[in-house]
Parts: sequence; structure tokens; C-alpha cells
Amino acid sequence: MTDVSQIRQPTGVYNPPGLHRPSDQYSDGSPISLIATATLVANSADSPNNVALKNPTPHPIELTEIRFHAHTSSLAIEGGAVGFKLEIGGVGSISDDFVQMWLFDKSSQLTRGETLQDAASTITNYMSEADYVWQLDTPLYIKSGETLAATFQHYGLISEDIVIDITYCGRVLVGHPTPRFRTIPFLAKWQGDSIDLTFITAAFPQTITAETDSTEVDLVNSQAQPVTVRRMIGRLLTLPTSTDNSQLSDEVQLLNDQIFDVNLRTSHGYELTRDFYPFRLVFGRDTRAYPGGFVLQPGDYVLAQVRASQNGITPLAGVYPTLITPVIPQISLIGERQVSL
Amino acid sequence: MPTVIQPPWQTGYPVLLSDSITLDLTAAAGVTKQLNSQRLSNTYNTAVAIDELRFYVRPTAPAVTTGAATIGSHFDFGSFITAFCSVNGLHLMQNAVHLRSLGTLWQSDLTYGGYQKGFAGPTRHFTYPTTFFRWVFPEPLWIGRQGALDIRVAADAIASRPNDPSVDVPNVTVYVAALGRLQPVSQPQMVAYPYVAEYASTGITARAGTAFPAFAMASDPVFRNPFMNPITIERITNSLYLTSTNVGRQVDMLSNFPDPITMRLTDSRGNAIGGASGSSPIPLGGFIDPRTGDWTINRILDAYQFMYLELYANTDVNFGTQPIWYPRVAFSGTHLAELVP
Repeated sequence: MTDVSQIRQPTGVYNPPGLHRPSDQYSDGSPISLIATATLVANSADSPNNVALKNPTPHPIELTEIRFHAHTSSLAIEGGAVGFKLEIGGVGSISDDFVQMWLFDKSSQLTRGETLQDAASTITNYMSEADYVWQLDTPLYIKSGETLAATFQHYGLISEDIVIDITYCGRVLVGHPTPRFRTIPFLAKWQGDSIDLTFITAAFPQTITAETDSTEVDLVNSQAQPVTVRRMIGRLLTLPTSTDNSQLSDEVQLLNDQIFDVNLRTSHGYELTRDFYPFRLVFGRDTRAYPGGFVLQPGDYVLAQVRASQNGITPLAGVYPTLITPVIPQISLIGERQVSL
Repeated sequence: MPTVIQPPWQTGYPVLLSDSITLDLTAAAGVTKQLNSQRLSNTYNTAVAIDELRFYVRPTAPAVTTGAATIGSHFDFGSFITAFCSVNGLHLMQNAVHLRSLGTLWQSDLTYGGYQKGFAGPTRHFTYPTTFFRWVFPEPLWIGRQGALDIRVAADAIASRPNDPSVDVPNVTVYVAALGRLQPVSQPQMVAYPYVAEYASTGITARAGTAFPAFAMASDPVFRNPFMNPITIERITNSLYLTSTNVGRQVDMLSNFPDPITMRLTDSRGNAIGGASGSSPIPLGGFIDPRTGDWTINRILDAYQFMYLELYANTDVNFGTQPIWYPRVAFSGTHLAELVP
């Protein structure tokens, strides 16, 4: 490294030794953000320019949060339309599969709906942009030159291209000893079967229900280390219909709130809930989150059962079935594991 | 019958205790019902620490006013459904507290909030209105082995909620969930118990012309500390419940215009907390952050001391249609007490 204090400066310029270090402008705690963008066509996976996501500093950095931004040219979009997969070379992937953008962390209420749109709409309270922030419970240590590589998946739920921005925010670590272990985030997700809600328009009274259950390979700790689960996120993805925009109304969200219940337990039989409770009670309607705190040993898993019941829903002329669209429940596990560095 | 859960469950594992009850909103005198304490009891072999209570309200049948009707019904069940909570006989509330007063606005879901009827403007009315509130405790609430939450929920009498939508939604189911985590077998001797007291004012007509003889707390010790230890008041919350036939949504009025009511708050030693005795009362917006609906004060209220609250109609500002306001003011805090057996 050049000793800049020895560089001759123009006469009259005050430049005491050690003040300017052009080859290493970082000091401990310097903020850093790494940004990459990609445009996805429907039903495709792609990576952004991962070189832009490489730690460019001569020092390790720690990431404190990851920000997701998606937008289309005109159609309403929510976090269920795009999946992410993050991977550190030589360490492994943070998730086994693509995980939907809105399953990474608690809702920050930047976007509140869960309904997609695939037709021009006159309804103006839905946006063609969606933002989500994943605040890491423990900062993620990235060595100099290491890359947390991202891959995106467009699920084809809407027909337009989706432009994705991903941003890593953190700080530079200068002069810190290299830790023996580092904490790697962990994600697992389950996407249930699409539930057709047309049954609620049938004559009543009746007790028809529809149910979809996760299996032992969905919300599972697939890693070799124990995973401490920090929280679970639950979403109800409301699919678009090709021509009917009425499903974009808040009425659909409220209808889903009324219909869906959930039951959770671990593979050991520990009851995270003791019975079926309203989906929006377990996964709170403001944050979509259920608290964690439990440990999954390698191979342990969580079983989720999601049930749609009438729960007082009755057919109403003029309201249904135009509002009824298929709904896909999605649940994620968000945790951490420790690996040697 | 709930079963006693045995190890190997570990400290920190999440716990969700929940029960539900259905209320008849058409009962003229209001109705109070108690949830099943057995389902809200700690059946684990160790203590649990409850971090928050969640309240979720959904109707048992569709609202009568639906679809494209011109008369909208915009519901906020939290404005007229109350809860009263205790743990093993220790009251967590001074009185029955409206759900909306239990948390700040960000802990509530106001997407579908607000309450009005007979608003012939752009209608926002829902067939299945649901409401969600969270009461996040300043300190975790400990419940020892075999301890139980005792929770009663009630609907205000129809007479006290004029212009009421009860004819639209005759029955609702109130779900209550206590979310927390398992604690070590060793228990603390002293615990910071949450405590809430609420004053729900009678109607105050805006622009009444003269100072409304609002309220004198001295004769009604709602805001008295009944305990032998000081209460640390974390925050004061405010909500304005209004009735009118031609004003905007309550949520909008609350967010933008908390000032139809003025307030003066002193303690029983004569110290001014908000507005000095003898001076003009100050509009609520001077105390309450309209973004959150609360005022963080972190103030000690000594044993047996109280706060003196006065509320007036604000006669300085033209609020146009002269609706009737029902301000609710609550304080939320903690007090130290021995762990109840």
C-alpha cells in the first residue's frame, strides 16, 4: 500500500500525514450499500449483476438489512409474485428454494394487500410497486471479496415484466479480529395448494371446508446445524383473474380474513398453536408474524395446516362470486444457524 | 382438557394461548362474556412470559348493508368492544378498556378502521368487516405454572353508541390470543405487571360555544394508582370516536384532526403534565402524535396518587358539521408486584 504521507502535494495544500488515504477510504463503521438490478420476464429466473453485490472493500463487512423493491409498468404487484434465492459461495444457500419477497420478514406496512392484478384496473389504491425490508436479527459477516449472490424468480402470476432491485445495507469492519463463527440466516417456506373459494357460494347452512397441509420436507431444517427460529410469516396470496378487477377491493382481503384458519406444531408434537385459530390472529394482521424462539435440530420441521371454512360466510347476490379468486397460503420460517468461518 | 406439556421444550419456545367468544351486538344493555380461562391457562411445567395480547374480531354473518348500497357502514369494532383482563385475580386494568385504547395506532390495523354510518359520500363498506388490535406489554407478563388469564369482553350498550351499525352486524366473535414464551423454572419474586386505565367520555359536541363541563377526574378516580408501588406510565393514548351523518371516516379525522377536543392534565400534587391549572386547555394534537395516537411520557405515578384530566370542546376552530365526539383517553404502564401465585 502506498504511504500517501510521502506523496508530494501541491504547494500551499495542507495535507498532514495520515489524513488522506485514497487507496483505503474506509474506517470502522463506514456505511456501505450494494445494489443490483434485474428485469424478469414471466416464468423465468435470472440473476442480477452479482459483481455489484461483491464486497468491494479490502475489509470484511457486516450486512444488517436487505431491501427488496419490485415494480411493473402498470399492473399491481405484491411480494408473492417474485422469489429470491441468496447464496454465499463456499458456505451454501440461505434457503433451499426461492422464497417469496414478502416472506423474508415482518410486514413493514409499506404494502398491505396480498392481491395481484393481471388486467388494467380503474382501482387506484393499488400500486405497481412493492417494497420489503429484511432486517437481519444478527448481522451477516461477509469477507473481503466474498459475494452474497442473488437469483430471482418470476412466478408468472402476472404477465408483465418485473424489475427487481436488491440492496444490501451494512457497515465496514476495520480492525476487528476475525470471528471463529458466523451467523448465517436461514429460510424455509411452504406454499400450500391453491384453494378454490367458490364453495362459499353454495347454499347454506353447510360445513364445507378445504384444507391444505405442509409436509415434513417443507418447513424443515435442511442444514447440518441447529436452526434457531426467529419468527414465522404467514401470507394469503390472492391470485388474479384475467378480466375481473373487482378482486382488488379490500373486500377480498376481508373475505380471506374471515375464512382462513391455521394450526402449527413442530415435528416433536410441540403445539405452536393448540388448535385452529384465525390466520390473521396467529400471523398478526399488521405484521403477518408469529414469534419464534424455538430450535429446530437438523431434520426437524414444522407442520402447518391451513383450513378454509365458511365461518359465517353466506352467498350474497351481487357481491359473490365476482370477488372470489383462488387463494394460496404461504408460510415461512426465518431463523439462523452458526457455521465456522 | 388441556394437557400438561412435558420437557424437552426449552426456554424461549413460543406460546400461544387463545380462546374466543361470540357477542350479541344487538343487546340493548350491552353484553359481557367471559372467555374460557382453562384455555388461557399456563399448562406448561414452567412459567410463561406473555409479550402481547392480540384481539381479533370478525362477524358471524355478513353485514346487512353490502354491495353497492349508497349508505356505507364503516366499522371499527375497537371503538365499542371492551376487554377486562386479570391474571390470578390481579387486575391488569382499572376498568373495561376499549380495544382501540390498548395500543398505539401502529399496533392496530387501520386499513379497515374507522366507524361511521349513514355517510352518503364515497362509500367504503364491507360485507365482512374484521378488526385486529395488539396490546404489547412494556414488560413481559409472567404467568406461573397453573396460572391463568381471566379475560372478559363486552360490547357497549346500544344507547352509548348512537348511530351504531349493530343492525348491520348482529353478532361478532372476539378472539383473544396471548403470545409469549416459556421461561426458566426459577421465577422472579417481583414482576412488572402491565396496567391500563381508560376514561371514555360522554359525548362532546364540537363548537358548543362555551367550555364543555367536560370532566373532572378528581371525583372519579379512573387515573388513580391503586397499588402500593409506583406506576411507570409509559404512554397516554387517545382515540376520538365520533358520530355524525356527514363527516369523513373516523380514521381520517383521527389522523388529521385530533384537535376538536382540548385537554388539561395535572397530577394530584398540582404538577402540570399537559397544560397548567388555570391556563387554557391545549388541543389534543398538542400532546398526542396523530401518527401513532399516543404520547410517550414515561412518568412515575406514585402510590395512591392520581392524574386529573379535563376535556373540553375546542371552540376556537370551526369543525363544520358539529359532530359529537367521544374522546377516549387511556394511560398504559407497569407496576412492580410480587409474582402472583
